[in-house]
Amino acid sequence: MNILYDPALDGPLTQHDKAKVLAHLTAMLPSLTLLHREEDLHPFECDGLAAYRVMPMLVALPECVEQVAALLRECHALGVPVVTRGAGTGLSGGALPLEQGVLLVMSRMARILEIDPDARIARLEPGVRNLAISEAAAPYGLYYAPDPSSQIACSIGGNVAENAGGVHCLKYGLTVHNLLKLEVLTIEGEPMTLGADSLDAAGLDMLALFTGSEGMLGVVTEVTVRLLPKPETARY
Amino acid sequence: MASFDDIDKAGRAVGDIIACGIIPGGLEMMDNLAIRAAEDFIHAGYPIEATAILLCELDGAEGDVSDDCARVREVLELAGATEIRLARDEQERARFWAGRKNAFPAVGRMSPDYYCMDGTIPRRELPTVLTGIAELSRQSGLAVANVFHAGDGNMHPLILFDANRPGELELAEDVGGKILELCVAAGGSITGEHGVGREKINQMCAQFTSDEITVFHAVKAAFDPTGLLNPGKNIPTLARCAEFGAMHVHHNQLPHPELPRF
Amino acid sequence: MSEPSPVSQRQVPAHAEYAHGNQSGHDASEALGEQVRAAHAAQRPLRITGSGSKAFLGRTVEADEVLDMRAHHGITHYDPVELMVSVRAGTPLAELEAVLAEQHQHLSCEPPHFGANATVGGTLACGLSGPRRPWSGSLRDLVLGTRIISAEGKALRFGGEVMKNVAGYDLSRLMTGAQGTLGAISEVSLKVMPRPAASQSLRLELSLDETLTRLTAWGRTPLPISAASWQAGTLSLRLEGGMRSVEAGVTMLGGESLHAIEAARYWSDLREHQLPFFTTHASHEALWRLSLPLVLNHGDWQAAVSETLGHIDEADLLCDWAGAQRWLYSDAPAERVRQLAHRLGGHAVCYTPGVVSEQDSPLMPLNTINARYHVQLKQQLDPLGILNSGRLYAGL
Ligand SMILES: Cc1cc2nc3c(=O)[nH]c(=O)nc-3n(C[C@H](O)[C@H](O)[C@H](O)COP(=O)(O)OP(=O)(O)OC[C@H]3O[C@@H](n4cnc5c(N)ncnc54)[C@H](O)[C@@H]3O)c2cc1C
Ligand SMILES: Cc1cc2nc3c(=O)[nH]c(=O)nc-3n(C[C@H](O)[C@H](O)[C@H](O)COP(=O)(O)OP(=O)(O)OC[C@H]3O[C@@H](n4cnc5c(N)ncnc54)[C@H](O)[C@@H]3O)c2cc1C
Repeated sequence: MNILYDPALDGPLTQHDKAKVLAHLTAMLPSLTLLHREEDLHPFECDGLAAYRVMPMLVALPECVEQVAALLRECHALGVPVVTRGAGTGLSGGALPLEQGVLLVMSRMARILEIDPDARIARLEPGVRNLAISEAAAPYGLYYAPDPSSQIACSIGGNVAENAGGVHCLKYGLTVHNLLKLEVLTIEGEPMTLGADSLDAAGLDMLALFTGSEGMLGVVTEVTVRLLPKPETARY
Repeated sequence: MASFDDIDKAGRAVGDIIACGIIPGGLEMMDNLAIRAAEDFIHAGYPIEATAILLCELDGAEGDVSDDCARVREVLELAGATEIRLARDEQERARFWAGRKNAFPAVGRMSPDYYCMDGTIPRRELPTVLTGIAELSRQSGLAVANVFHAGDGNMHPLILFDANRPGELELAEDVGGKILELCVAAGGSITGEHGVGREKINQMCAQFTSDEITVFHAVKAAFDPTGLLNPGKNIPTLARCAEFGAMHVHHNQLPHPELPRF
Repeated sequence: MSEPSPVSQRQVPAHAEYAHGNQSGHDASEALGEQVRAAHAAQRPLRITGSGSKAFLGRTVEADEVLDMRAHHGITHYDPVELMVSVRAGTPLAELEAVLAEQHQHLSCEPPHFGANATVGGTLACGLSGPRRPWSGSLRDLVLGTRIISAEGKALRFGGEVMKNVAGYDLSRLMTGAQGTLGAISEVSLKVMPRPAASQSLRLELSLDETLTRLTAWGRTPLPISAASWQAGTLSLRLEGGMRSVEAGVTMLGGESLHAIEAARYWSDLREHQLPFFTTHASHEALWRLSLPLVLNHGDWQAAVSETLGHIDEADLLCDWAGAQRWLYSDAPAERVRQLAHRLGGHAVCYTPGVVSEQDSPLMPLNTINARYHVQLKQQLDPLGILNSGRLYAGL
């Protein structure tokens, strides 16, 4: 079985001139790190499903949400597909690049923006590693419950996109049960807040819709999660 | 940690614990191949002769956990566990857990390559599905180790293969695909937590009807009408489903003829 | 809705699959699907109803024809050991809860009924949760899967009966709270939980300021709080969990212990808006629900109140969800109440019919971008506007 993109079955993809796209993006986004040389692109060929590899046309490594928004707007205008990648630990090829697409790597946006121990929330950039959240919350006696086995490496943005679980799901739920709010950008670069600092938000439950949507509906640029007090004891 | 000489009994014990009104923080099951792999790698102190082990973690307030521990021990004894061990100290507890958390790399040491599946099933279907997996393993000649989030029905069968042998990757993928179809047939899902991505794009056609897939595409179009974000992932085109023939057939109507071909 | 007694023995439910199976209830999905298909073909809008208990919760749907879900009722599959129940939309919520209670299980978010005949489908469509919400999760969090009838009258199934399922977009959770605007829910699978072994409610005399300060501090400890409401100088607390942790909590917190029956009535009346606070209020004031951040500085609350509403009488305020859900009676214009909620990072819903104008919605307006994607989603799933159109917002 070959699961690589097949235009006959998955829809046509427009061909792009890499040099032109690169020149355009560099001109429009001079501060954005863009990788284009083959040796620099190699590490991004695959995610955790390493049997399948595709060389991306370009890799973008934004450091702030403005860069992400601008990149999306430009790619949208050019008709260039965008594949978002967190830490690349996904096991289903969700972050597998496209030869004709830009790989948007969120790993440099990895700041913990806020831990509020009283509200028991953490506000995070999408590249923050799952385990780093619990580590940062530990001094307050708090932790972030969903703990995929890949938690040393995987990013919270990737966790949201996959609705990641872990060994404590039955009692503490999946990612979707531990989220309060997402900041996302649509492919057009438009910002939306999904969910809220309160326990529910007006309108449709877009937070639930985006969770587990595998980077198909938008790019997650900020995540607010709920933290729990550490249990007194744990025994086997 | 409880050992069992029979997978069915281990599976039933999981239900018995939950039937007591106890929701463990973690409840994991490993079969013999996974136990041996983990033991070989981590020396967690697992019983290598056991057919299956259950790892049950209880967390919460001190007093409640003591009560629940006693209760769980009773349940496990009644369920026919051949051995029950309570971690003596934090170190042993960490070792028990390390064995499980490292089960994937441990299996990876036994075989040049492995392929990790992620189907979910209603827990009661565990014996049936495991029998099906064993049969697929026998037919294909590929060993399968089973690691299972037993509490929530999320299975991680690990298919062992050697990609350097011609055809084995394809064989492993074929076995994997069939395992997922077993999960769907048992009332479960092709993915509990790893996502569809590119990998399970064809199995989506087994889990959803063409009408449902059409609705997924409509949702996508509401946010990304030109389809520029992550094209080709998560939701198969109807053309792909027609090609792979796994699409549900409703009321004997084949949905294929009108489908667009690209 | 009986509470577990403070010192109850856990009982083991029957291990075999529960007797409630396909034999009970009535499957009307074919007829309902046919009705929607006919309406779709004729481009005739439909108004979905359960029992009509929460009719006030949205805008009036401009449709003469009613899609009555009540004929489609019954529990199709309940497996206590799998912690899962599947139930048809027209089933009375009370019936479902009674069946779960027999097995010492419940819907942990304790959804409000607002009427003796409230249906499971209407409850799900409204997406409301009761006093346990901040600790147990919401109604949406319990949803494992739904069957829906689409605007074209097609029977579709999303999610399933298993705890974990990430295949495809999560449309079953999206349906929760969508008030039927994206599809008519015909069946839902829910995660059910064992009732806590022990439950004890307490009352403490405290100011709101002091209440919020203490709740914040308690929130960082593993105290097994499962409900916390405040009104007129009294904090009502419920502790639930293992017997020992509840006992330890009671000892630590002090206050007045409530008898189990009295406690059960209080939490049920709070959830169902049957407390005197709700039943005796002057009719000229509108009831607003403010959904606010989990922890809100009392000074910030007071400042925002004085800037938007001027003064509020303490007797007009009831705080639930440890302060994250506040019920407020006010005759201030909707705009002001919304400003208050918005300033504090939350939103407001008007629970009194006829207060907001016809063009407006009891729900808080969405910002432009959000509204655009809401409308695009509706247009994709129901382009002809067949199902409950305009129920949430104009055009949605
Ligand atoms: C050894 C191992 C063990 C694992 N164990 C578990 C486990 O126990 N439970 C579990 O659930 N998973 C597990 N996984 C799978 C994986 O770690 C998770 O799916 C994880 O959530 C992926 O995160 P990531 O940052 O690596 O995402 P990536 O692999 O980079 O991306 C995954 C998907 O998310 C999208 N995405 C990433 N970031 C964003 C963003 N900011 N905005 C929008 N979309 C985005 C991508 O487009 C892609 O579709 C395991 C993986 C490995 C290798
Ligand atoms: C505080 C409060 C007081 C109330 N007081 C009154 C009152 O005095 N009189 C009164 O008439 N109502 C009142 N309501 C409204 C009423 O109680 C709710 O409408 C009720 O809870 C909904 O349950 P139901 O089964 O009766 O659903 P319905 O009220 O019938 O439906 C609720 C909403 O869900 C939709 N819906 C129902 N079933 C489905 C389905 N299967 N799929 C998709 N959508 C569906 C309906 O279209 C409607 O938008 C009150 C509500 C609240 C919160």
